[in-house]
Amino acid sequence: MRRLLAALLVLLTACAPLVQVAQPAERATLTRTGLSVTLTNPGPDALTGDPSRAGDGVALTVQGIGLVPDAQAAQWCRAATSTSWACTLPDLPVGSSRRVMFTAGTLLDAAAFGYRPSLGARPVLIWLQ
Amino acid sequence: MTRVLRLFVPFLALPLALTGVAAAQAFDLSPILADPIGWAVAMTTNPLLLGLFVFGVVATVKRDAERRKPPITWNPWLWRGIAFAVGVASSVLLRVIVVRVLNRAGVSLEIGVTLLNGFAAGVIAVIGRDGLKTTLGWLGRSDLLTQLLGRPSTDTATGTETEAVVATAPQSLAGLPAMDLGSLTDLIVLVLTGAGLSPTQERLVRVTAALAPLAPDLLDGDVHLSAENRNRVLRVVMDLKTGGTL
Repeated sequence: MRRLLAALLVLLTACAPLVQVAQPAERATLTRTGLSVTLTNPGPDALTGDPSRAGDGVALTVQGIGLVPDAQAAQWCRAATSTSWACTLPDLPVGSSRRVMFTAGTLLDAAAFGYRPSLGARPVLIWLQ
Repeated sequence: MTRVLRLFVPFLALPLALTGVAAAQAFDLSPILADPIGWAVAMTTNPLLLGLFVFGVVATVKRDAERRKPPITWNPWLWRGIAFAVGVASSVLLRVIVVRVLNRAGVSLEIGVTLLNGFAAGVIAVIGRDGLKTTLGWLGRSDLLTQLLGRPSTDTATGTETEAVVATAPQSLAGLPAMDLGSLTDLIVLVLTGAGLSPTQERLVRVTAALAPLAPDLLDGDVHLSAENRNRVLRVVMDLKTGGTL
């Protein structure tokens, strides 16, 4: 009996992170077309950065080799390491999308990290589809 | 005396081990390897960095001493004195080297600045343990401290000092804002799982270490991270995902 309880406790503890990972309402998508990635926010509310920080926005990391950003992407992004670009996209209102384009190189992966006013400080993570 | 000298033998092995780490791991040592002078200057001008480095070295020596048979258990204040002395000495020495040998402009060898930096490095080398304990406690990984620094019970013969340290950790935790996520560890687990990586102990330790610079952002009373730090989280996890093969 005691063993069963212990096993149950371990199981519950192990599952706790999984419960957090489930983001049932998250509908934002990050898609890739050639050398560009598009972040789309269909709602339910805006996708933002830290609301208390001026000039903050949605964080987008793009990984690839020899990537060259276009004029718009150059405004949003800077090279964090030789293989990754760190972008700060302006807030995305409901129904909007932002496209980050590169003109050369090999795009490997991307992911976005933002917040929603309705979720408070709970992170909203969007992985490349 | 030879017994004490022997304690420092592991540090001859350390550079060797580090080259192995550089070759085999995803750890990014390139900033140090590419720009050793810049690294030395950073250590000279930033007593916090140097203090923590000295603290780490002294803590390792101390732990090794306590593991010996018979264990060398010195008064903790002796260890603190050693940490302070090494901190001051290495700060002053580094400064002299940087200014006189490397002829680095912008680093002053004025006696007041030198001594102040040395003092700061020494103090931080002494308080490093409590600082690390608080940080790890806040990260929810106080068990790591035991792994890193050994059991606190061997710390003091008197015992009072250890108790005082243990008592400060929960206090600093209580002062933190209630987080939606509980702790940085939960955030890391969330991001790792989202990236399709199982949150193993090794990955957790690695990511937590890589994300240590985030701590001030979370401790500022607002649990939101800045875009820059959120990108750092993504980068660390994505690097782990690709296994540093890029």
